[in-house]
Amino acid sequence: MKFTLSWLKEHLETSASIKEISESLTMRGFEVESVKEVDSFLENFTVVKIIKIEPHLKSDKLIVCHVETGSGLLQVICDDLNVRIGMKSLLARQSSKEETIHGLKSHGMFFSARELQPGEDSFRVLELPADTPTGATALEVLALDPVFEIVVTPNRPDCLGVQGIARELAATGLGVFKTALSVPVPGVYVSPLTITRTLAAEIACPMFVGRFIRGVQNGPSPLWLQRRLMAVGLRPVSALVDITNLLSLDAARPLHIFDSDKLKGSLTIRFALKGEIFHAINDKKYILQNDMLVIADNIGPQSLAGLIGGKATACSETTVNVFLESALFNPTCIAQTGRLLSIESEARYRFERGLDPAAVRRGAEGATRLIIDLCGGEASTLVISGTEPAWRRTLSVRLERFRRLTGFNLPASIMRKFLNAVGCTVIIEEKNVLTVVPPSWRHDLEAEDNIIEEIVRLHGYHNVPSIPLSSPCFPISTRVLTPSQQRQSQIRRTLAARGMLETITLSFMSSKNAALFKGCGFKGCGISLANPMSAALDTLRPSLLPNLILAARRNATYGMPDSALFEIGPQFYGDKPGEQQLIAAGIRTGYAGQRHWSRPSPRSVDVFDVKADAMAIPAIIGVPLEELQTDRVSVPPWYHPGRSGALQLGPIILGWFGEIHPLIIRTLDAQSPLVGFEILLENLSFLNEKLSPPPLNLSPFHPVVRDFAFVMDNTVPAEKVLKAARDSHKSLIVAVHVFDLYEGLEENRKSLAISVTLQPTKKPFTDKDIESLSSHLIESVFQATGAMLRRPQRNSL
Amino acid sequence: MEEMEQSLRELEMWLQEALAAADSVAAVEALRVATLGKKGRLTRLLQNLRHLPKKERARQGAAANILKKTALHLIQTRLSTLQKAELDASLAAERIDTTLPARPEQMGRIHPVSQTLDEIMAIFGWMGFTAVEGPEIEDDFHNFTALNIPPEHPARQMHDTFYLPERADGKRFLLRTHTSPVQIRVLETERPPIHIIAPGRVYRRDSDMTHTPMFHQVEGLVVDSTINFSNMKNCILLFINSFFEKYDIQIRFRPSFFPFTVLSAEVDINSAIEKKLMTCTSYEGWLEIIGCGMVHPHVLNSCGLDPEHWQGFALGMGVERLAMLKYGIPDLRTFYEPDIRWLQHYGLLFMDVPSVFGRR
Repeated sequence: MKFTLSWLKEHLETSASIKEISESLTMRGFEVESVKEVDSFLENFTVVKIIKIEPHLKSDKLIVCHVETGSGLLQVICDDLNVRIGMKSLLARQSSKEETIHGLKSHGMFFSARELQPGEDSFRVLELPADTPTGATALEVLALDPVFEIVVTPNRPDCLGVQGIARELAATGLGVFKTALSVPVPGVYVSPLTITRTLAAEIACPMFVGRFIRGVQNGPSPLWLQRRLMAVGLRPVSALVDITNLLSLDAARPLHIFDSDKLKGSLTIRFALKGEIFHAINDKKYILQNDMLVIADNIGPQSLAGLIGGKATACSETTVNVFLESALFNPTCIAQTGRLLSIESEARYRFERGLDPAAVRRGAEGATRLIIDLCGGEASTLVISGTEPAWRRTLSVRLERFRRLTGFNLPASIMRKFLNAVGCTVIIEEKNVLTVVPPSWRHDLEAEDNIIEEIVRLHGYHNVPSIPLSSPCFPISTRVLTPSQQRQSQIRRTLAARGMLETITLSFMSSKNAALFKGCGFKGCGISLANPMSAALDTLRPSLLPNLILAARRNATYGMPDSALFEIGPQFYGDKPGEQQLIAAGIRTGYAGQRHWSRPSPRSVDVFDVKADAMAIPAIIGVPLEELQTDRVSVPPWYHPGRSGALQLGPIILGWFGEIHPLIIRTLDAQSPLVGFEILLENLSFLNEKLSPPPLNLSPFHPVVRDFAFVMDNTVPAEKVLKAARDSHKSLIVAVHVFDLYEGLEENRKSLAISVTLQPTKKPFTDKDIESLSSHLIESVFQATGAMLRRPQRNSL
Repeated sequence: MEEMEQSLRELEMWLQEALAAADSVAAVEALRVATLGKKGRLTRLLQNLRHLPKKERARQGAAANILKKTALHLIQTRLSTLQKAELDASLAAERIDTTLPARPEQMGRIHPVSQTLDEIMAIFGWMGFTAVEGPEIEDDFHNFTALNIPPEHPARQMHDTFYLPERADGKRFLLRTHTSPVQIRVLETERPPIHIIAPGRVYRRDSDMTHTPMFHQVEGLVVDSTINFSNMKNCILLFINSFFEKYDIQIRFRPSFFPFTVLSAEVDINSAIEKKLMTCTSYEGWLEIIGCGMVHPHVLNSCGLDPEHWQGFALGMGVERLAMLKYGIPDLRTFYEPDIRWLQHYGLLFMDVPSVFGRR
């Protein structure tokens, strides 16, 4: 909501400074977004009169104007073909050099609405009243003053008018509210037009006040009105239109004026017929539904109630007879129609928030006065359909409730003073209860707590004490975070400690890319949005990987091809609440580490980098790593089928790791090497409690390390060899690991060298013990995998 | 007799000369063997003593033993000298350029939003709040209606909601526009006393300088029999001071409007005063960081709680803005562009764990 200081002062007698007014507005709930002083560029504009117009010989979109500036003649090239000889406007003279447009010199630039409001699309040259003195400066003529822009919350439609704001400021003690009661214009004849509300429309339109005014003369509105509208960013159109805009901004009272000569028959307020077409003043055609309220004549809808007027019956410069509308419509009805037809208008904004039900007639009177004063004409008597709806309600406010809700006390006399100041009537003031009637314009005061809020608002939130919560309300909770949140934090810090950068990417992605990450029995499929921001963000992501891959690509284009990125966040597999999974995913690309003098050619990232990342997650949660299995089959199709794996704990899949499928890399225009992992954190949730470790039982005896090299078919998984070796004597074998892999032996065979740590517990091993354990291990591995011992290797530690 | 003394003298002379000429540890070692070894010259002389008469043997023996001690000393001295020289030489040869850079290690970083969330949770955890979570796909009831935002309420327009397509069963879900629906989900299932905090992603169909279609909020809810507006004020003041680790921040509560609260307020901090804290110079003056208010009786009623008995407050804050203020990040839009340079610059080290975080 915008208004100027002088406009406010028309309704508020005050000597308060801009700063005091701003402070007072903000602290009473009307946040001041800006106070704009007069733009200095206006100083360049002076009033000119157009005395001659010629066509531009080289362009039919331009004309050449000769203007009288008060101190000589100037030639100006202009693109508004509507300017007329004799018209007065503002011109900025080119200060240093004259501009040449299509070969003709232009000595200045006319003033249009876009100079006041960036983004305003009007190129129309401003027309000033004919009596404006030529040569006067824009500052003298427009007398612009500081413009306030404030936020009016949806509960306060009464402050969508300058009068309401003035009333509010007066209530806070900043001045005296000047009620704007214009002198009513007596009706001298009965309106030739009548209004009827259909039975069905009576609830949606409780009251309609109309008035016929004949013999008006429409044209540019007077300067004071133009400059008031321009100051708040509105484009002056004509006196009749400007009057309705003024009353909307001044009294929060939207109005409509029909050119009654264009109406066919009297007006009916009714619901539209399904499929009925309405041609609005914004040049758009709307197809109506049968729950949309219209004001129609015998031809059809001529106005969409509370939203926008019709093109056919709009006022123009030739309008002579008009019909004025001041009505009350059901806010929900207006809001719904506005939403369905996507019509945003000042009228809708006010109607859907709620108008003052007691001001319908006053609106009509105020508008009539302005029309008669500015355009002349003769007014009929009022045509009224419906009645002012009942708005009086009585609310009881218990002082005890006030104290309980706020934590402090105020004397009833102070409360009464505050309430009276905002127009409430305190009809009974008992010892413990105030009985209050809110004013007609305060829809928001609907219950006891609203009155309490109102009292505290006027008292000032800054005057409310700060009282610590009493301890019984705040027991020390047994836990702060959910197990899932705790785990996320651990995982986040673990992956960062592994050198990865945490990212947060949008939960959206393109459906095109989402299609690459679905299917094959995996839950993700990509949930599309009904109203996405753009095609690139039209789907809820079925996986975290695509956003990370695109991030890597983006970083590569900025010259950083080596990425190690991860994210912990949701992916979506259904369109119902809860159909999301929490995932920790990461990718690595390029080289593992930078080039360094100790290793001039760095290693490229590979599957085993992300396998380590993936395994770090169950590891810190407390999964015994030797129980994890790598399954090479049940892997989603976005991984390289031969270079990936699923991490399993018994039947539970914890996640996947591997090289990203080359086709996906190519489709997403990313670069190899690109490896990634995904861990489904909910599949780890069964490990809710981290158990304390069992007591430590240290053996007094030296462990023995033995190495074995096995030769086997190269399809045998290493994990199987390790498991067979470990399981050959579970209590004495404490560690097994692969320390060599050799594949150049013979075709389809490989040699795997493992190191086995044997830990005696009761007595040191004898050579015989070790012999026996070794041969049992060799036999077990052979049984499980068919691997043969290549040659025993001895080394002692 | 004379012969023996002569031999001892000659031996000493010889040893001295030979040691002086020996230029390596090995040469000295060879001399030690040649003198004191099994077949060494001095060993042989000592062995010859037994052929002497007993009297003579004692005298000559003493002289020979003196020479043995002298020889050992001479050898040891020479050895030490040579060993030191050899060590010096090898140290000099082993010299490397220690100004070369160390082996690189990758240092990961935590996203500032995660860090800020951890900090917020730590502070509220310390105040006795318990964390809860809610779904990001929501229904109209939890996101709007139960929060006293009926269909066609103008407040819905401020939310720019993302909708999912209508399902076969006629239901249409949406992406939650705030974390407030978690309030409803908690009030539906738990009885007071309630003091919860709910962090999470929220979505609004808006994208410009100061809006991203996804951002993070933290919702707080306290409901009991006596919780009042003054308590809310205290709780929020405590949080702000604790979060910014400052006690001289200018904070103001001003009236606002949320359909699901009465005595609704917005809380601003004055960042211009705190230039040192908020390194971000693009902010001047008052900045809104929290919205709050007493839970609206309609909300309590719709969750089956009698507003005559139960009351409390709710608060919500935008995590990104708090992160921007605390960590001096100027542009919201950069948060979700995973630019490595940005992450390395604004990200936090993994060991920067908020101090009261994770209390169990």
